[in-house]
Amino acid sequence: MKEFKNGLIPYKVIDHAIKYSLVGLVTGFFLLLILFPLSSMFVYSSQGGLLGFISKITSPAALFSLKFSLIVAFSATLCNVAIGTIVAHVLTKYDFPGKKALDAFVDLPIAVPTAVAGFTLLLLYGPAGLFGKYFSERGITLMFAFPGILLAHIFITFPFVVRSVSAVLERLEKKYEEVARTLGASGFQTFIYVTLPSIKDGLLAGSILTFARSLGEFGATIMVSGNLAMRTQTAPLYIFSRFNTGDIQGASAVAVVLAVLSFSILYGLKYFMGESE
Amino acid sequence: MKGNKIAVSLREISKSYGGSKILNNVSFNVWEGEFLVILGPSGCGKTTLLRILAGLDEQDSGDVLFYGQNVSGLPPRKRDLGVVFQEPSLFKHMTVSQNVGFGLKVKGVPKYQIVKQVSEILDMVGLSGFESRMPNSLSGGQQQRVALARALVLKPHLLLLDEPFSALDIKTRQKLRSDLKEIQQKFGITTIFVTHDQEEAFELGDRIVVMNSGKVEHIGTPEEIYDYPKTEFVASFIGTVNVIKSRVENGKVPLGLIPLELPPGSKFNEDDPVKVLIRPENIVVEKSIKKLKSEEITTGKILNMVLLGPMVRIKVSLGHGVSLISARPKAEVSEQKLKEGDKVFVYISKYSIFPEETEILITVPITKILKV
Ligand SMILES: Nc1ncnc2c1ncn2[C@@H]1O[C@H](COP(=O)(O)OP(=O)(O)OP(=O)(O)O)[C@@H](O)[C@H]1O
Ligand SMILES: [Mg+2]
Repeated sequence: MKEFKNGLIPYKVIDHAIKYSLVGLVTGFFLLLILFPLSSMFVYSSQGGLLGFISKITSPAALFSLKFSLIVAFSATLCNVAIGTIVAHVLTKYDFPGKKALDAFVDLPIAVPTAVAGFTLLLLYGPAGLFGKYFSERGITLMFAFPGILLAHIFITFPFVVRSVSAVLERLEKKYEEVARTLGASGFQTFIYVTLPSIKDGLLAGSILTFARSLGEFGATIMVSGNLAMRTQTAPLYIFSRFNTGDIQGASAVAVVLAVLSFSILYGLKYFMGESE
Repeated sequence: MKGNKIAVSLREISKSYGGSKILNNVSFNVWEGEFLVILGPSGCGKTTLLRILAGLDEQDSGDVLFYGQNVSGLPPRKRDLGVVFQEPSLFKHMTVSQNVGFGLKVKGVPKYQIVKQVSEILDMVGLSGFESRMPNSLSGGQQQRVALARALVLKPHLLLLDEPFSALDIKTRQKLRSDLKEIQQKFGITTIFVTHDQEEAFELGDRIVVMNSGKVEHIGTPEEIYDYPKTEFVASFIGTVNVIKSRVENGKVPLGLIPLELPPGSKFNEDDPVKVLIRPENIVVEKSIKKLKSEEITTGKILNMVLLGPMVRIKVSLGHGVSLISARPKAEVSEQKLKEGDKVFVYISKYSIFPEETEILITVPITKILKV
């Protein structure tokens, strides 16, 4: 080897130095930002042993919050599958003035801070709000109740189904629908038998993203729900409340369940995406 | 003609896209049971016309009649027709039999009948046993057979095909072509087939509609179109042709030393510039004058000869700056022992004369033929 010739450090050594310091940095980040916090959560949740964990997680308020979160996430997903598919269809198949602007608005919920989103919904649909007044005069409460939370979650997760379905629809060639039409299918039959099976994958991917995002939603939810235990408290809100009252163990127990749930969804999605390719 | 009923009637169909006229007053009839080929260069509006027939697009003006009924404005499913596109476009998530049975299913035909009809039609297109295969496991030719079966299983009155074989290799294409013709005759189904391939058009068509720039140039049997082209475009688009510029002199058109007669009924004036179009096989080249019968004979000299399979392509100079490409059977050439540099007699058995100012859209100039 002729290294250190001319008194220069060879490139290889520099390359190695860069490589390992970067790997070290990334590993450090990973440990500090992800692994340590997560494991400490497990440690805290298991401080009372398995029995302690079970008693914390089976407390009525904890169970309610988990159940409520699942119901909200499921409903929001269902709504956005329906709305999102229609929006994706309109945005990819039709041409109309203002289409570009509408298309840009789809992504708005990602850009708007969640607390701001919740706040605006509160202003509009709250008991004193423009629309809320109309409903409350008729005895319907939207805010600080399930409808308000659902509305917030639909808003926050709106882009996911739209984007994943339009990506598929854009690639889906018009000719298949035309063939179906020449074979006697009505517009509805064409959608059910030809279009739907082709967008199935996109729909599922969008649904999973929606569900996961809804499960973890905090900022908008705390604004519109009023954070009422056993009534409007989702799991993330429960964690927050328990922590505030010093019940670290109770907060950790629900946090662990929520984290495991989200991980399963994420890996389910990855597995599913790998399968379909 | 084929049947004696008119199955399809197009009446002055016009269509524009973004201000440019794609179809310009297209009118023709199709007889029941007829195999009609629409032939024309790329971009002449063939697909547009077929889509209007299918009800996938709507004409700006004019009418489409099926058995005398105006179907303009009706959606495809109300028109009782089958369409096969250039790409097979099989539904990817369905098996072969689900693809073929799709039209029956959406019609509400009972399952046991679907199974029966699907297997019958698959048998006919030569795909028995492929029922449960997925489209992506089939070759291009097989996929196109499935697409054909999918359209035929509904027993439509009209079958529309848009260059269905153009993406396939030559062997597969030829096999599918003859199978299609056979099936078409068996069903007696009225068929409109779009292509830009003249060989395909001549093999398949009972009649051929030659289109150019959104207009019908000529409708006729393959023989009529080849031997008596109505326009210069038709003459030059189909087959190879010699194009020679000349001028009317004393009521005739001189070509080298041959004064060609004007076709009867043609309205040329003295000194009009004209173009003479002659197919290579209509130029007879002989060593002795005895074999030739007409007075329209001149002398020439063989410039070169190229053997092209069963035919020999001979370039003859007639003097006066005119040279022609002739195509003679190989046997005839060797019998006469023709060779380059020979002095020969040249006889033109058939030709067409068109006014000079006709737009030349596609011509096969002599220099181009020579390079083959
Ligand atoms: N939907 C459309 N919008 C705008 N222009 C179109 C549309 N469809 C066809 N055209 C134009 O009309 C002309 C004729 O197209 P068409 O597809 O009918 O030709 P074609 O004869 O089928 O050609 P090819 O042999 O290449 O398939 C083309 O210039 C094409 O660009
Ligand atoms: Mg075309």
